[in-house]
Amino acid sequence: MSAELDMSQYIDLFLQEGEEQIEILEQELLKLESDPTDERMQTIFRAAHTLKGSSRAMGFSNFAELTHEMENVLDQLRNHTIEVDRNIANSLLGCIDKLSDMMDSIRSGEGDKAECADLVEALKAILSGKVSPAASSQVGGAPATAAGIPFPTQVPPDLHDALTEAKSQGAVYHVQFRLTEDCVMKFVRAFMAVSVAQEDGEILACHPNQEMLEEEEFDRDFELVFTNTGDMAEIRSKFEAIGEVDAFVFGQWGELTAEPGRHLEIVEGGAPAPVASGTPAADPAPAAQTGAAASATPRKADTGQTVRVDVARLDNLMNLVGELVIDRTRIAQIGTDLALRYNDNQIEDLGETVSHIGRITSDLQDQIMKARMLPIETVFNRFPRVVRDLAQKLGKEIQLNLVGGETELDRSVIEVIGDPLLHILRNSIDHGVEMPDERIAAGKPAIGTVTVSAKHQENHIVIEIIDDGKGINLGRVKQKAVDAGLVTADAAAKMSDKEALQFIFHSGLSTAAEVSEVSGRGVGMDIVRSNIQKLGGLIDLDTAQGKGTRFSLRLPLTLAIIRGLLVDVAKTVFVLPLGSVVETLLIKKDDIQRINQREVVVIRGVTTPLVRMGEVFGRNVEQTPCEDFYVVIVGLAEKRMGLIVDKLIGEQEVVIKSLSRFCGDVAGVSGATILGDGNVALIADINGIVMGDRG
Amino acid sequence: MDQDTIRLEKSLQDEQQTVVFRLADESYGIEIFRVNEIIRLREITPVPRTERHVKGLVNLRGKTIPVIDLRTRFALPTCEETESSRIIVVESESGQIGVVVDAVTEVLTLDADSIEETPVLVSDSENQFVRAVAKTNSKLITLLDLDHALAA
Repeated sequence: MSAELDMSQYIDLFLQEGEEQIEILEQELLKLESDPTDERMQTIFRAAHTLKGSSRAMGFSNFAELTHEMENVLDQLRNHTIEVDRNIANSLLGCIDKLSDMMDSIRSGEGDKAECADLVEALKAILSGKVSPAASSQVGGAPATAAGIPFPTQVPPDLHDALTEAKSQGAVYHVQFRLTEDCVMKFVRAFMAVSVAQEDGEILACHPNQEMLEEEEFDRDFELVFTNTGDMAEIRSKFEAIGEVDAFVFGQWGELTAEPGRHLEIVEGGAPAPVASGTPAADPAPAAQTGAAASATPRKADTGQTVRVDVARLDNLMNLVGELVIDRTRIAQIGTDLALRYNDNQIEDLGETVSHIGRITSDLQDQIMKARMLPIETVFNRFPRVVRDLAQKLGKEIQLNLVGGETELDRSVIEVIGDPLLHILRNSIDHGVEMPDERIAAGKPAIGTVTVSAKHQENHIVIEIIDDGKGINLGRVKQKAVDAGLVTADAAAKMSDKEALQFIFHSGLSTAAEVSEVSGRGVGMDIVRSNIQKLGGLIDLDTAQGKGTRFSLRLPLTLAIIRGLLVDVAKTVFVLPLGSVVETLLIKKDDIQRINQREVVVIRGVTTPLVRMGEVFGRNVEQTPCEDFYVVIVGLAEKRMGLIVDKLIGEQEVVIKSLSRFCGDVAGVSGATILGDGNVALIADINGIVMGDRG
Repeated sequence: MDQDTIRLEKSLQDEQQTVVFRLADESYGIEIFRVNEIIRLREITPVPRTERHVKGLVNLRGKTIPVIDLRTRFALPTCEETESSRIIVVESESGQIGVVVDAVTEVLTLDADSIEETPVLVSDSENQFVRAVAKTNSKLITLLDLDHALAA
């Protein structure tokens, strides 16, 4: 129950994400007609896939169904089973319009009520090869507000007095609702009605009583009597906006006729004082206006303590602080240069001032970072619903443990990790955890356990998703990889388990035998990895046959500023993200050994491959023979690698700037930054370097 | 003069203002409304694994913008940078881009009569960057098709 209530908090997030995805879908679809590239197709497919996933997580089944059908068509297009033509594009665009409509109605609190059977038919027709008529989109009718529902209520005499009293002081309204038969979250509808009534007023009485409303202990009918200073027409339209309502009657108290056998119950503290005190009809049960009421009307004491700030403003502040950090470093350097040149008291003062500015800037940066922090709970709270629905659909029993929800991280990171985590979670439940009978046969408890945990580790957050399922069948992964032509059978046989597991992250590779609605289109894990890598994070997984699988994600706390190790490579400064740096060493020429024509060094008994950074970046200008080499040991998951650099310059905080779109994606470079001397330095992408070094 | 005014003039086909720069021994022109600013040459940080004509990134007041070498782009012999070398910062589809030229010589107002389509003789594939040729009393100015010239 409370999980469902909590969903309302995430509607904003869903709407925001959804709009972005719909926009991508629309724009790319329009371009697709004239320029059908595989890459574009993939983008469209992913957008639809994301929409499907997030709408299902929110419990918007109409929305999810439509996107699922779209995805089916898109999948065929992607595989070139069918080719895009005007008809198909029209149908898909019609669907997008419908999705936008649904977003609007979700925003207005009506849920995803919309008639989309014709669109679904059109999509199915495309799949079955029939010519589809251009689909039109129409919003489903708003819930009927037919009067004359036969359920008005008898009022106990004392309450009647109280209400009459209240009526003498202001407008008292009476509203009666009948929900649709298939209404899924009756409580939520009741909660919405209560919120409307309480917006500018107070609830005096209700039937059934408030506790029963909260516990969903009512059939389809409920009614409220309340005072309200608002405009009657306005209140009516707000009631109309509540979805899944068959009918409702709304009017001044006393206008509606009573039916024997029911009685309204006074809400404690709601009815006017003279009658409520000492009235036997006063129901002692709803002592506190918990749940619905409490969250509907934020306590007045809270306002004034917090301010809602547009995220764009925070981003802007962050950028400005970023500039400040650059300039601080710059001024510090100028100060040092001046101090070397002149010996002057004033320069000493400058130094002091600079270091003071330095402290202030750091504090400022910290504070702004904190202002942007959110507990990861906001992401985690979407999970229980997903897991519950999914487990039910699959006939599995799953216990979900969420650990460390209070762990805070930057909003920018929060925004993007939701979907990757959801993908992994779905995978764990769909492919990982076995059916109850299989589990019992394997000597495990029938209920599978999936744990999602988050914790801080140095300047990172580590998120783990652990299931106690059957693990990943490596043989099958290899076979799939061979079938997909990613690797030869020979090479696959020689591959280590760790290497083979990496295929999980490959686009178009799914080990699920059948394409299910849940997962298995081979689209999930490659998005997951690319999203994580875009964040400068790492993803790793372990699996044990029959015991389970563990995914671990390591993410930076923020995306704007990183600490980096500055190194000199062929007279160019590169920044190595400190998060990936394990240690730095000075080695002798003789320490370098060769295995398979690869240079390696043995560090404390561990053989570590070496890479000459100058060669990686193709700027092998002059190879002056020298005796000593600076080596930066970097780590990626368990992989260790030594980067040979010309010089170590030092540690510094750098503000990440993206490479210009003009340069595109450059392998081994993740971004650029501006150093204290005003020059641009490149930020090395350790991931790219290590991965690019397979050969 | 703001951009709208310039566009308006252009649409009237009366005349257009062109930034003229030198590359090797030739004069080239870019419509003035495409030019954001002209800056002195400064430290350029090379970006590995990019096209040969991408010289690297420069710091433009806290922003990093890519700089391309037009000599390399046009397959002209490279030469040392001089005092007169400049970076012309232009607006392109993928944001601001700097273009290294030997020198910026002048801003000319060209009237429509002096602009001719590229003569067929030189209009081979090598000259896909050329939009038109302008004749002034003393010399020929090659007007660049900037979008083509900057396309990655």
